[in-house]
Amino acid sequence: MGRLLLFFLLPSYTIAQTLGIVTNENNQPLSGVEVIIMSTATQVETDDKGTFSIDNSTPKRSVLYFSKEGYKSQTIPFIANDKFEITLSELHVNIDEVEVSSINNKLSSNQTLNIQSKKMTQLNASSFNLVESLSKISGVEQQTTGNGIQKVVVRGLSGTRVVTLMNGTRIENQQWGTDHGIGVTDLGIGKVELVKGPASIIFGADALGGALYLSDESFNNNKPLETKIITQFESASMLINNQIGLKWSNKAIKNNTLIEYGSVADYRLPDKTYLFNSRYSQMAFKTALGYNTDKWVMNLRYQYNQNTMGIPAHSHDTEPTLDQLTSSSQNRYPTRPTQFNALHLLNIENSIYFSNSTLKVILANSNNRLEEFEAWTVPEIDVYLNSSQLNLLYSKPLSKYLKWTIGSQSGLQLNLNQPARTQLIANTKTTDLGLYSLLEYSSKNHLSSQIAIRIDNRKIDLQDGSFSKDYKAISLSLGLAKQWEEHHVRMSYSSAFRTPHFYELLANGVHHATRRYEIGDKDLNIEKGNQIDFSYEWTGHHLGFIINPFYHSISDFITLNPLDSTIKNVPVFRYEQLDNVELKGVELNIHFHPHFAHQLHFDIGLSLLEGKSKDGNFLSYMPANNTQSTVRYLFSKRHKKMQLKTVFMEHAFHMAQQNTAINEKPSEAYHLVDGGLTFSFYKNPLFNLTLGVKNIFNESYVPHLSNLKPYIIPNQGRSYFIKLITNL
Amino acid sequence: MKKLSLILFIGVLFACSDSDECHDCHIAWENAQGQEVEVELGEFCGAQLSDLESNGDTLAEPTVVGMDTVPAGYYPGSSIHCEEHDHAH
Repeated sequence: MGRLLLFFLLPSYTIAQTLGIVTNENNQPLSGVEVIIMSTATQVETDDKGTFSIDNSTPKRSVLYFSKEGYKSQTIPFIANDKFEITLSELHVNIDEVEVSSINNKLSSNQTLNIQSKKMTQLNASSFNLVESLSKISGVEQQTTGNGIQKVVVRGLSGTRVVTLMNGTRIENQQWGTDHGIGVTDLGIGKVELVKGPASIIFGADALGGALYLSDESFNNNKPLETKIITQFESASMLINNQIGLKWSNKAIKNNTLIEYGSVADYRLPDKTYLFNSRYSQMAFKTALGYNTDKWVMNLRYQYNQNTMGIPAHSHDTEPTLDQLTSSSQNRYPTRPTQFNALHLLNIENSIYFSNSTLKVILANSNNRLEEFEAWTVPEIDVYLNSSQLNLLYSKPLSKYLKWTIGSQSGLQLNLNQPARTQLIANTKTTDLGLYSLLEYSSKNHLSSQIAIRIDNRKIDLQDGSFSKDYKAISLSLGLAKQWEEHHVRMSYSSAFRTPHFYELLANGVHHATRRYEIGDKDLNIEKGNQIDFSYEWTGHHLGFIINPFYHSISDFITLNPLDSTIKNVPVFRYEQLDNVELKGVELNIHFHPHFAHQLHFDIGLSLLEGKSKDGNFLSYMPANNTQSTVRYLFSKRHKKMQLKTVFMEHAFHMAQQNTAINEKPSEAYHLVDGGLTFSFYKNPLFNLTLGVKNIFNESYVPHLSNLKPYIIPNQGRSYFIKLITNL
Repeated sequence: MKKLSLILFIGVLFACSDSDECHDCHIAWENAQGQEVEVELGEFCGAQLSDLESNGDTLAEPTVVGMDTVPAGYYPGSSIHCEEHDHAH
């Protein structure tokens, strides 16, 4: 009772503060520098004098992250009552964004694993959904079914091979289906981190192809109510999306609450017809409450996402014509077939700061319901997926340079069918337990290394008792990074595993959304991946580049193969295993910043990938090689009521993909050009406006990873967009 | 107050939705060539629609559709297809 009373009384106390100042190399104060307290996920900003203050209730040794566009980011540990004097050096070339990771609080320049961190605002200037934004990162693609259903593809792997986490909690969202999207929107997401390649050490079973780690926007520190409204419109799909975010904080207690509604009509193809039933709508709500003392940080988060997704290109004919799948008019109201997907995510994170160590406890529950309707009133499938997770993490510095972390992750997942026409898989129970240990070394001469080991056990039970199986796996990770002057080298080895999904083991029925009769195999083994990843970065005064080759070998690779038969007039597919597959590729990024035009920036990204089985056959749905280029001109700040901030042009070239699996269609090369302008109005600014055009040349193209490729249905044609951000 | 009004106004704008409760339905029968043959059943709404899609329908006598004759008998809910009205080609 006493603690509860204290909880409510604390805000009225005057809490002592630690002051600091941020300057540039010429000792001039820097205003608008973001200072993020990583332990409490709280952000403060420097004022016109370059000063900032941090409450002394902040846990000791919390990582403080300083960042400002055009300057090299820094992290320092927090010590109460110290006077912080930070100098940020100017950065001409920013090739590999210097961000701090929410996964391990390390700056990207000190990472030994391939973890890329991006602010959401860096990715979504011209894109309107989360996965499209992520596909701007080299090595990342999107697998799509129209505009609404999208999955992240990392170095050729997707679905249950790439785990998605929201603030440290796994999102369980029926990822086994190629037509089941990511399930969440970009509402309130501040940062995206992507682990390319095996990541079982940190994230456990299934993180064979990588992990997508989403972090909410930071809390404000001791600020009255702040409101942000984002309104978006796009012409080709008549997309309307509105988000409202409220942030308030009062010393120790902080709250962010956001709501979103979006509605999208059938999209317009380059020939000015519309793809029937590519419509979708999304609703999301998110709230987070943060509280901290100098020894305890608690974050309670809840979010709800509801998606209504039309399934385009659905026909009962064996070979439907384009005319049957398109329409001369555009509509946004739900028709059939449609997926209804609802996701509740509840997460309580507690961090306890002892004198020389930290314990973090995350307790989470994710409750997902997926209904697929082909009829109007009776679902084809209706499944609940309820997952509870408990993650424990204890870390302790062993010396000035050595840190030891141990942790456990346990989970219970129930798949429960509701009355429906079809039951693709029986009711199942999955239990997980993983234990890991990680040793990290960071020296003052910019040498970092890491060694980690993990043991996992997963048990899958059919609730009627007819199937029960244990899967055990060991994962390893070794990494080394060294930085000297303008060179930065990183190399890592990591292994990971994925147990067969219960759908791959037990499926036996028609999946109406994909028009396939799918048959599982109870004898499937664990997939095991081993990746070697190397990167070399060179940063000059006006030019920088990073080259990142990798080799990933996966044994017992599970694949869905067509059989030459039909059941109920639907083609039959069976889950099978390939002995060994190899994924190899290179990612290259170049940043050029000419001396004569300081505000002009060129970014070029190249992704090359090949996926082959041991017997020499190409794997299906391997992304085509591609380049992505951006030119941006950043105008100087002039303190006018209206100011043109940025002009940008983006070009993507996807090469033809002829390296296809048996029975898979190849795809042709295409160019995409987008462009836009951003303006700011009034102080702070009150409004930020982006106007732009996507697919400027109205190119008719079918991406290699489009699930509509068999019907040769192109993506949407030229589209105009507006994005308005209002800060109240 | 201004902020609150603005938020309420946008909230009201969010809550715009509509749906069509009635649909034209047919029995989908596959002929010997594997082509779908449709026997029109008419428009169904609300509880009648739900009943038809859940329990199916019985064709009392053989029905001639073009060159095909759809046999009499019981057709389960999965054989009933109900269309959207506005799929204009």
